[in-house]
Amino acid sequence: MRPHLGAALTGLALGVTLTLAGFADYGEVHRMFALTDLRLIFTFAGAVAISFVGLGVLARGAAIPRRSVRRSTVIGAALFGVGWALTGACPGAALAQLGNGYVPALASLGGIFAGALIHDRLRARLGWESDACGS
Amino acid sequence: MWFLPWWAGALALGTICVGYFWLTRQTMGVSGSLYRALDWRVSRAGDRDREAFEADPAAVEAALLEATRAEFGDDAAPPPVSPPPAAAPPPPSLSLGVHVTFLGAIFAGSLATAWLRGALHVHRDLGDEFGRLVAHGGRAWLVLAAGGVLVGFGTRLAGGCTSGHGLSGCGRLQPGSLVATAIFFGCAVAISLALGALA
Repeated sequence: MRPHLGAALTGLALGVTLTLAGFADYGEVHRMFALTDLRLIFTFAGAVAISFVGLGVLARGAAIPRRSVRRSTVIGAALFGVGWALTGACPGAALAQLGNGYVPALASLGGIFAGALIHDRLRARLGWESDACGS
Repeated sequence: MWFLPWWAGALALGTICVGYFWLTRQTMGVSGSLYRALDWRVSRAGDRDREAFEADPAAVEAALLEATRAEFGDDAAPPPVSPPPAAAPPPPSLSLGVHVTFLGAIFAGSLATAWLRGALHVHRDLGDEFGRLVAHGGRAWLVLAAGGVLVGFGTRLAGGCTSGHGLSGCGRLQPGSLVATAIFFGCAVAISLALGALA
């Protein structure tokens, strides 16, 4: 029960925060990446700092998979960055855009699912090795 | 439209990331949850296997031993030994239902927030900025679908997105996550500067 409750509470809070912080707003996200408004960059950096402290205390000695640098990490992250700049949507923000009534976010979400499926097909065919997705 | 000052957003996002781990014993990752939902058949089969094992580990071990003997003969199976004491057993991975709950809650939270602040409207586009910089009308949908494919393909290949690599991974100073985050931010900056220059 606790994981369900945890996922529901943190998911709701994430939807609220992504909306209020402006991660679901294409203009805000674009100004962050164009470096004309650093507010969201500071938001993200501050959140990493808090996670560093919090996870450092709570997750010490926990069996969490390590994330090493692989070629797939580099190529995948580069493609993701291009896609995020075009759509304004990382996977979480795409859901938040939809919640804010942006109907075209359906195209982004559909693309995200299609991209994941295309990846799986290609990986099977080309014999790529890639990271398991977090959790 | 107002938005949170940076410190308030940081406090909220950081607390969410840490709270997710505290409550579920797993690191938060939206793309991970999304793909667990996409692979729902595999996820559900895994959930069933885990439930069977948790309900009666001895029965599963006996069945494995039986199957090993059937395949390789009686000599193949070693005599049962008591397992060595495990240091810290890994926490059980989250079920399909938990991942779907998480994704639904993100949508519900943003919907409720937009409604409460009186900003819930049906938008047929992503806003003026998107129209000016990227595309209008029908072409916008094509660009978004193509961009979405890059996001889906890229996060699946890299094994995480803004939450999994960016928050949870960088927060634990994981090399792969630090590199991934630097690269996806760097590429997004390059593309956004180019979009601004071309518009």
